[in-house]
Amino acid sequence: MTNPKKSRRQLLEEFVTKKPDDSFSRYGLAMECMNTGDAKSADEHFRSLLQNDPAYVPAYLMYAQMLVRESRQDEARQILNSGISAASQKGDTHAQSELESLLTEIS
Amino acid sequence: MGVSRPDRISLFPLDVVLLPGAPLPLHIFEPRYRRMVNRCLETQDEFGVLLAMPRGVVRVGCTARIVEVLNRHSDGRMDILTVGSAPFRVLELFTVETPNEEALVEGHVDYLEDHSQPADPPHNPELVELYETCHTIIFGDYPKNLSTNPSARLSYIIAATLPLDLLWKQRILELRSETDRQERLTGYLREWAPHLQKREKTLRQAAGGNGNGLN
Repeated sequence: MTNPKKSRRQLLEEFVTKKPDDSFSRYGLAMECMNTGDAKSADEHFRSLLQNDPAYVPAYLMYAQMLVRESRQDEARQILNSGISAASQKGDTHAQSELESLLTEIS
Repeated sequence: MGVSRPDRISLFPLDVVLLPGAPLPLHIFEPRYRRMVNRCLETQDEFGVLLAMPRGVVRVGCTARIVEVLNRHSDGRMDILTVGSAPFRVLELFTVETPNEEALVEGHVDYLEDHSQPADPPHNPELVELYETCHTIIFGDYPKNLSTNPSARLSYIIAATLPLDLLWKQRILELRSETDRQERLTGYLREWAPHLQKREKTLRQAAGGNGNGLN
């Protein structure tokens, strides 16, 4: 009970270690890294998430937005294209149109 | 429910969905509700909390049991702590007029029980996993209320703790089997969870208030 309080990132890292296949925890960790300015770790987590679970549609847009902010347009386009096929396979038209409009914006 | 409950109860429309077992602190300032609370304290009755909608109230609510009067202000206002008790459906509404006060609403109600088959199903592992991660993202900590409250329904604990859309909470309150509630809630969280960190400031602010409304 008197353990020093862990950071949100540490807690999410523990989830990912305990449950490596839990896509949402890894997504949460990637987002936390991104929101706290650690783009390098966010990049690794987004990549490993999409490798393990290419159907986790929400990650494509967030990852692509981060790549655009980092001026990595080519990689962003690649991610957006993969995201568009993943979203279309899932029938997620809302996500698909969001991904498409970002792709148009940066092309 | 095992205990006999009155068919007619006072109703308190709020911007809240109260769920069985969930704590709800309230600041009572309107004279008609002070009267209602004082009467409930005398008779040890519960009052009904219903989600207020733009046009009227929903028909399914949950009774609130007053656990403690936290504070009685000199002008009659009160801070009370209540806890959600029994889900009910309103069959008929009555307006009770009192001179010089706004009317109170009472309802003839039917108490809603869960279907018996399995009354206490095993916890849906995906739901627990989603809950733990959502809780950690929003509150910066593991949820502790799963282990401290083994007798409460998992679906109610989760729906009461997370700052979910009120209409989703209302749907959870209206389902009459724990298996269905857990399944529905898992679907809601799957949809909701990836958006949490996109608008994180707003959510954390909302979470600070524990999602509970004041009258």
